[in-house]
Amino acid sequence: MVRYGMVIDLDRCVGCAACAVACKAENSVTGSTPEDYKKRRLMEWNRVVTVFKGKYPNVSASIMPLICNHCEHPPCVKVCPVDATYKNEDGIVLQRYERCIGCKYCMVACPYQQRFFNFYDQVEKNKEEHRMEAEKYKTENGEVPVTLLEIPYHNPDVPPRIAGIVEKCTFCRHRLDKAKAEGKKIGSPDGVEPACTQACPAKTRTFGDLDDPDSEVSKLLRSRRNYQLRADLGTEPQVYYLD
Amino acid sequence: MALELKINRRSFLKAAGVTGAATFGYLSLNQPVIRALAQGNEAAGEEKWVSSVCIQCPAGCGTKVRVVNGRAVKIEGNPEHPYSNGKLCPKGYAGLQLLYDADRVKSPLKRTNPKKGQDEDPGFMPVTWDEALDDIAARLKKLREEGKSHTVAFLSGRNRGRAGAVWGTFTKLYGTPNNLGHSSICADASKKARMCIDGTDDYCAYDWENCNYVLNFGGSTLEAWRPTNLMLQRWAYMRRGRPVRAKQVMIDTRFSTTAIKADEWLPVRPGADGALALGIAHVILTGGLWDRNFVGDFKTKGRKFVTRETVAKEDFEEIWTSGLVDWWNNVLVNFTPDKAAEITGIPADRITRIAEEFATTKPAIAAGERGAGAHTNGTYNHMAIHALNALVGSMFATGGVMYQMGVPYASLSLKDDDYMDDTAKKADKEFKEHKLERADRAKSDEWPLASNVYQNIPDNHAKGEPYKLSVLFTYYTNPLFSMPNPQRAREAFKDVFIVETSSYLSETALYADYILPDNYYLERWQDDTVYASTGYPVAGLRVPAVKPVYNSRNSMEVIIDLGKRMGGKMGEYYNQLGSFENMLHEISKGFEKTPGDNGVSSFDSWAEKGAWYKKPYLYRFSGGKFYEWDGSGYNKEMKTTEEVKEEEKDGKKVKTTTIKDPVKDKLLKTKSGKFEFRSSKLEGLTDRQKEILKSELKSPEFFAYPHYEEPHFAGKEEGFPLHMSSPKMITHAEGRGANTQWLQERFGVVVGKGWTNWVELNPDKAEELGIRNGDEVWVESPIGKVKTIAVINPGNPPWMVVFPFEHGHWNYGRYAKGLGANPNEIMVNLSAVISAQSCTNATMVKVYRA
Amino acid sequence: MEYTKIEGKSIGFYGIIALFGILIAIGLFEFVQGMRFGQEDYGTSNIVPWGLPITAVIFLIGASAGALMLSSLTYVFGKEEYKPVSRISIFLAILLLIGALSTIEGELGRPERFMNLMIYGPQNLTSMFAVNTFLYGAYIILSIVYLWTTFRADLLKVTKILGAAAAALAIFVHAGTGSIFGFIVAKELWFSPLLPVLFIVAALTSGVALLILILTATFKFTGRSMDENLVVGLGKYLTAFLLLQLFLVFIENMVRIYGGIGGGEMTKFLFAGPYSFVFWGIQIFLGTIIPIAILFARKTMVTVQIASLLAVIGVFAERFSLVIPGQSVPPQQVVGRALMGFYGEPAIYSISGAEVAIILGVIGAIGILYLIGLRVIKLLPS
Ligand SMILES: Nc1nc2c(c(=O)[nH]1)N[C@H]1C(S)=C(S)[C@@H](COP(=O)(O)OP(=O)(O)OC[C@H]3O[C@@H](n4cnc5c(=O)[nH]c(N)nc54)[C@H](O)[C@@H]3O)O[C@H]1N2
Ligand SMILES: Nc1nc2c(c(=O)[nH]1)N[C@H]1C(S)=C(S)[C@@H](COP(=O)(O)OP(=O)(O)OC[C@H]3O[C@@H](n4cnc5c(=O)[nH]c(N)nc54)[C@H](O)[C@@H]3O)O[C@H]1N2
Ligand code: SF4
Ligand code: SF4
Ligand code: SF4
Ligand code: SF4
Ligand code: SF4
Ligand SMILES: [Mo]
Repeated sequence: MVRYGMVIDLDRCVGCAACAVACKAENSVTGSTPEDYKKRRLMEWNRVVTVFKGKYPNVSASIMPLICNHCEHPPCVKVCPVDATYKNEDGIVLQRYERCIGCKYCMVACPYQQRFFNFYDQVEKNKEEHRMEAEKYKTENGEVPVTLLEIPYHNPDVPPRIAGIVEKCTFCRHRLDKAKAEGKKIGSPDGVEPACTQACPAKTRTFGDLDDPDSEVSKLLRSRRNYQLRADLGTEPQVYYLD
Repeated sequence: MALELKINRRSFLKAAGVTGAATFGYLSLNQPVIRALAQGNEAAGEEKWVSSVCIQCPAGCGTKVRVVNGRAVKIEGNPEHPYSNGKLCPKGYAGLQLLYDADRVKSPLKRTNPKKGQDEDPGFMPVTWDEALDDIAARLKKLREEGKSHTVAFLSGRNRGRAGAVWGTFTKLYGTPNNLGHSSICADASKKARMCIDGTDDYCAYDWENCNYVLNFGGSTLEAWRPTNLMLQRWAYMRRGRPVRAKQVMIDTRFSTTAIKADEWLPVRPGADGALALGIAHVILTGGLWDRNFVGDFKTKGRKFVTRETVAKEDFEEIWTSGLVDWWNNVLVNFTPDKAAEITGIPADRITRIAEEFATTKPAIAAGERGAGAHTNGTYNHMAIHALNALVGSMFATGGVMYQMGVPYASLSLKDDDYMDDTAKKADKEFKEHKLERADRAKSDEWPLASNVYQNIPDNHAKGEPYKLSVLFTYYTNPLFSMPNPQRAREAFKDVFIVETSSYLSETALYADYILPDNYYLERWQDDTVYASTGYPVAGLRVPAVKPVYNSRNSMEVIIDLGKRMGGKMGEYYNQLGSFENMLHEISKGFEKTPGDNGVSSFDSWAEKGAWYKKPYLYRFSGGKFYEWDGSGYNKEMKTTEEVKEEEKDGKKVKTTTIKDPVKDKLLKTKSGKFEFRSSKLEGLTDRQKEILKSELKSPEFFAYPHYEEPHFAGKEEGFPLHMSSPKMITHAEGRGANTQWLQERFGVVVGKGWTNWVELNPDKAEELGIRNGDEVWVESPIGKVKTIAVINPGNPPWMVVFPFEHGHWNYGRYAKGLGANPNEIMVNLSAVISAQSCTNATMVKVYRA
Repeated sequence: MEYTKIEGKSIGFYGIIALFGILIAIGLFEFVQGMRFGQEDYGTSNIVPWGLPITAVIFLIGASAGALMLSSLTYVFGKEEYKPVSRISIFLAILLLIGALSTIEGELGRPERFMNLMIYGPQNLTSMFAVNTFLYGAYIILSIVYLWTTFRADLLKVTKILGAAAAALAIFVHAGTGSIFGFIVAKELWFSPLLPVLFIVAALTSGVALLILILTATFKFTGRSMDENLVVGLGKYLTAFLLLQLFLVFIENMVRIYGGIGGGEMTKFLFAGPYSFVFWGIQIFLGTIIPIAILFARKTMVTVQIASLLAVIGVFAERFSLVIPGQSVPPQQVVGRALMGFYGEPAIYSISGAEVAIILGVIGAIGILYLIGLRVIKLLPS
């Protein structure tokens, strides 16, 4: 059996947040506006946070990237009333967007705050914002610059999410599917990786099959002390951290 | 299901994007569709990956752009480019949102409202390229005829690859000395310091891979510096990628990302880096820890320097350095760790320990950037820092420092010198004879060694000294925003005819009389020779990934087009040149002779791979000697040779001896051919120049030495109690880049704040000031105050106020405008002596609740 | 005992119908806005995804369950003195639950997919929400049948059995609703085995209190005289429930203070955060202590009415203190280490007009159905 997981080596991590932005671009995750931000509606499938201890001059801090942990016992899956969120046979916690009723139960159930609600439809909203602008910049033959009516950089491999549903990290499932279809190897260091893993300048992240003893993730987990976030909650995260 | 599977990628995109995803999402977001799309088995749209080079910050990382149906949908690192190695920093990935920014300048614009000001609506009117360029050409021609060609200035920031040469040629042929750059508000202090003591006016390249100990004086390794992305990669490699873990010591006035991740953080007092470096040098010399192969030794073996005891010159034999004993006797002899501790706030025993580690954990690098440099004493700070590399023998050594090699482009067959008409020649001659000054007065007796004095242009113009400017071209720089106290420029430039090339409505663009929008970097051809880092040469190439989204043109092509319209010899030159693309084709012929390691040997292969590079670095210092690469190893010793030539001249035999010193020619380019602890460059200035420079020093007697100059802080005398530093965040590139949602929302990675900047305060200090986390506060300096938000950072030293750069835009599109505050607006314009480095960290402020 | 319908022809009657109609219109308008543009206008966020509507939902379910349980006083336990209000209690229980379900529907991100709950719910019975969906369905059906049997003197025995079953189901339904929260390990203020019990007690409190208020108002409005003894009797139950509730809240918070999962940040937030006035001021003081004091001091028609009003407010505040502060503090990712910035600072939920409108719409719907019910069904004692 395949069981995908990730190992994040915090000693390598340089807190650059390249992973976070790469995830946004790869998965066409809605960018916020200052208003969204104030209302705490940031969509960050992948985020980088800092925890501090002590204060100057005896201060230390650690910077950690956080993503969905693809928990072995995912509370979000347990609570979904329509089975929209499910645990795939390869260990990835996925979501059927077309089934989600937007009850947000999974959001309150996830102990890691890794699920995000679409408060509006980005494409529609942008359209509204840009319509007047578009009128101004029509060419003679009626063409409108692409930026003005839609989000031109939407990754065609991932489905757009509509207003009212919840979304989260998919372990870049579309990449893995594509790799499978093309018969490519999956997993770090030389196979297909999720966007954040591939993007990381510090090679902080290692992705692969936890059930394969020869995979890079398994080797790392054997060779160094590792821990999971909030292991006390019994969720069994499949994202592991090394200090 | 049948319905779903029929949807091919093209109609998927269309449906998703245009007809509104609401209905679509409900009907057909079933997994099979996604799978079908992912596999691309249907009539998938055209998909390609185009090579390009990121230009958000000066790193110049190679990228690959995924283009589907003519749209750029993802930017990734180019594995072929040795700076990116398939990776990018966060800004690189966010480039899509810059390309498709709906607020870009969409066509050439002409100003209709002659009045200029922050609140003045320019009344921009779209015009055609022909209209705009003809009008500008006519204006330039007229000024030439009136003998005022020198009042036209070209101000540029990010000149990449040949861009600098394109501007240089234009100014030269037009007849103005004013090809002005922004390097003085950037990081000239470190460059000029090196020029003074080792002869190279450049940033260093560093052999990070092999280095075991890093002493970093205010180089923001993990947030800025250069080349950011590669620094991030190297950092991780030095920590975990190899058997020996390098030690990182970060000297910074704030608890930066680098300080968080480093083994040790030394919270130095602002502007005191030079003192710290001297204290370390003192320990190295008194401890007998200097590198004897590079520096030399006492004639009496085993002898060390002794605190407060001078040394006789003849007792010490130097090898690759000069002036050590003078330096010791004048500067270092009393500069004990205790004295350094007093100035820097770092305990003496810690300084001693760090110095000992640094000198014994080889190879070691002492480096830094604007932290140490952007102070009034910045140039001297960097001289002291760089001197440490010589003391421990890191110059050109494995794991040490070096200088970036140039790219062997073919030179153009067309020589611009041949196309200078009388006006052009006159301007050139007068400038060389010091009869004509530059608008920024660089190269004048006041600033004999500075490359640019960007930050003084507004004052000079306002005073009419040396003269008033009539026309100002701005390329990739935003003087109305990014320089200290930009209000000066906002006042002074009201009567200047400004031609702005930005693709964004920058602050400067609001003052423009014409905006000639440049293509965005994903839309244009441009070469990119990188900033120093690897040592070996690298040249990237931007290939247009998409058609220009709006009616914009590559500024390089525009300036060539403008040249053609100038007529005369100038026009002839540009007609001959044809286009910038031609130019790129021509220079790339150099690769035919020197193919890159990845097989790039022509324009086409360059465009395909996106990067040309040739390893290895050619020089190496080892075991007391310099060697050059001979094709298989560092085997060729770089020895001084004497060549005696006998020639028949006027019937007589003449013997000429030429001494060839390859080390002096190629590596240590000082007068002595040595690393100079006593700068011959400074001592060689004219008396008048020295007099002016010394008059600015508190310790003029040490003028020629790396020494500690007491820094000057604006506002200190007026009783402003807190030091303000204005660093860069990983999420922005100087004054540009505030217009992307993806970067804005995580602007402060460490403090967890988005969509604004803030001031960071120490928790105890904040309590004393009655300020809580998130409060609105005023930050006030002697020249004004701005309002922003307070962030209580437990790591902040009590005397520091950290006020990140980037926000406070009053233009620049919907995602940048009106957020946060611009620290520059309260930053007093100070320049470092010698380098003219503008002092970002030298203003003092007070903070109180708004 | 005889029951009658009401006339329902007065101007006052139509006036109130019109008023409720307006509320429904407001609610529907916001509902359609939400369907079209998403829930942008809501006060919720990604940190506090559940807002006022969810508070209302659990309040309504609780009141419904409480009302149903009360009816069993007569029909199961044979306390005839409560007979005048027992039948209408069942009716109210049904309406309140319908109200709760409408609120859920109004709160869903994709309300048009409501049916997915029926279609896919059975696939995931670990979801307390899915389980509850079926419990609610069963509850409504059972209640309707139960109500119907009360019209049939011949089915007295059946009524008794159904009454017992309905009361049991009511307990289940509300315990189940409590489990929606109580099983969530992510939330310090929710994760507790005591929560379902607390939910039941709160249900009884709000059920009795709401019943007292609605019935005395209805009786007054329809010119019927309400037996003061009946009200005082209900007031006794109310006192007991209030005391029990206070006790449960007390021990639950004692456990939290003593130290539970997650470092106590959320408890601190509940006690001292920006919503602490809801907890201390409204829930504990105004909604529990004062009514208990009043009821202990004197039980008359008026004092019981006042105490009931305060108790209703108190229970609503209790629901609010659970739902909102329970989500406000972002979870700790590493125990004992506070996050800095966006994901560290508590999120403040501010009640939005849109959410209030949804709730108003539901109140309108309940109101209209209630009035119509009074007119077409013999619910009130003559
Ligand atoms: N992300 C990002 N990277 C960039 C750029 C960018 O805009 N964004 N710009 C590029 C450019 S143009 C440049 S010039 C480089 C500049 O790169 P750096 O010089 O590395 O960056 P800065 O943020 O300007 O300043 C560096 C550090 O100096 C610290 N500092 C302030 N005062 C003192 C002091 O007195 N002593 C010491 N030791 N430290 C002090 C600041 O806290 C800050 O952390 O970065 C390049 N890389
Ligand atoms: N407070 C504070 N101030 C600082 C610094 C700091 O750390 N703190 N850093 C300093 C440093 S190191 C530097 S280098 C300077 C940089 O300062 P500047 O040289 O002024 O550079 P930017 O502010 O980035 O402005 C660049 C301009 O280029 C325009 N532009 C963007 N893309 C394009 C394009 O494709 N083509 C053309 N033609 N134009 C384009 C943008 O609109 C923008 O107006 O800032 C300095 N100022
Ligand atoms: S981290 Fe949260 S969203 Fe991800 S699987 Fe676990 S519970 Fe679900
Ligand atoms: S919001 Fe969607 S995915 Fe989450 S629990 Fe509800 S139906 Fe399931
Ligand atoms: S695995 Fe993919 S979806 Fe998940 S955080 Fe990384 S990039 Fe985002
Ligand atoms: S990209 Fe890598 S180094 Fe940067 S924050 Fe993410 S995990 Fe850390
Ligand atoms: S380091 Fe600079 S050039 Fe490289 S990706 Fe980041 S912004 Fe672009
Ligand atoms: Mo710079």
